[in-house]
Amino acid sequence: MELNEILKQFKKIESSHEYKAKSRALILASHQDLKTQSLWRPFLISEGRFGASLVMTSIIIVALLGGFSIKSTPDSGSFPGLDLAGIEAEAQAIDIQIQLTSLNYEEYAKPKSTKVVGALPVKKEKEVVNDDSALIAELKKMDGEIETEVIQPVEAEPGIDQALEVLAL
Amino acid sequence: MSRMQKKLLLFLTTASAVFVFGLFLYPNNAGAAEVPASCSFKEDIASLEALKDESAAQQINYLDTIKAELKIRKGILDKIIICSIKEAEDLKNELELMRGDSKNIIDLRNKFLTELDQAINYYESQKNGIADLGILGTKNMAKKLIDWRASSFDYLVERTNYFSTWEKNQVFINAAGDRLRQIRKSVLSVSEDDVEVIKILDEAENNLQKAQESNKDAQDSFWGFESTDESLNAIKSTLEALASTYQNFFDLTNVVKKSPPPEKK
Repeated sequence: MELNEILKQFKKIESSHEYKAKSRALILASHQDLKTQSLWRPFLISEGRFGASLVMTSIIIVALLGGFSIKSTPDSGSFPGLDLAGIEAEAQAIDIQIQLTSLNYEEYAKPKSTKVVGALPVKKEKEVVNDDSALIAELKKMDGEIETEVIQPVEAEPGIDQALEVLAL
Repeated sequence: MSRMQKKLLLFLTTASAVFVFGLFLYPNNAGAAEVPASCSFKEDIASLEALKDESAAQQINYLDTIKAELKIRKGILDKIIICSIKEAEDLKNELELMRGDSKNIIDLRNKFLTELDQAINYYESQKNGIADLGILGTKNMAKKLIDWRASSFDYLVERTNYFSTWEKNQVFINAAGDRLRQIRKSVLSVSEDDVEVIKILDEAENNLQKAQESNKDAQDSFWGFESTDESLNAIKSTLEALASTYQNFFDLTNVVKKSPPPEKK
């Protein structure tokens, strides 16, 4: 019985307030195990790379958008409207238009009977035949009956006006 | 999205793509059946001449020759009408593709479109009478068409082509005007006392004004019944004056390059 009484008294044992405070302070001040931060560590290391990458990307984007210029010497391009490339392009377009207009004029300046609208100037078929005949005859006269090779002119396709002339006969 | 839905979507996308591709590939033959593959009359003329040779050699009798010749002649006349209408239609298409949207351009374009429609109507009216023609009739119709083309249609075609050229020039005139205004504003803001710069700017202004005046002359010539030479000369003067304006711009670029850079205010 005496033993039972002693065991019951053990239940009432408590640590002193002074010991509690001291132990708590010791635990908090002790070195913490780094394994508890392992999940965050890679992220913390890559933070530096991420930042550098962000800065580089920003620089490239700004450069591509023409946000700054490396030109240090001003030229005529400093004046709006006086960009040489633009002036040259427009002048060239006008030059081409002048040439096209001249070609157009030459087309219409052809005699009406040989003109075909929307096509290259056409030479009359009869004229071609006559020219060849005359040339061959002349060559035969000069060289006897020796075979002579004559380069045939390229025959132009007869168009509407030529067909009408043939039909009118 | 379920697998079935994905398959259905893929099928619909493929089917749509094939359909759209097919639209581009499939030729639009509506109304094209009567247009000949070529408007060259080489073979038609050759067959008419071959018939004459056969007839001269008495290889076929007179009546058969007449029948065959009439058939060939009518065929050629039909083709001439179709090709002439195509000529006018091609010009109409060119006018309809014009991008200029100013009132001057639209009014003149409508005028030429109307005239081309009238020409097409004339050809259509001639087409209807071909079936009843004899050999002499085909000869007379050919002469009539020659006269009409020389007096009316060729003139219309020439003027329409010059109008197309004129319409394209409007872009150049506007561009030169914009550029001159821009240059004047920027250059004078820093070189208002530079005699050489002011001289070149004034020359450019004069040349542009000449271009605008000639351009107006060309525009007026299309409304009247002036010779096509007047339109052409006005167009040429416009382009020459524009070329001189751009020469002034080049000169100005060189002068500005030699000048000290503008000070930033």
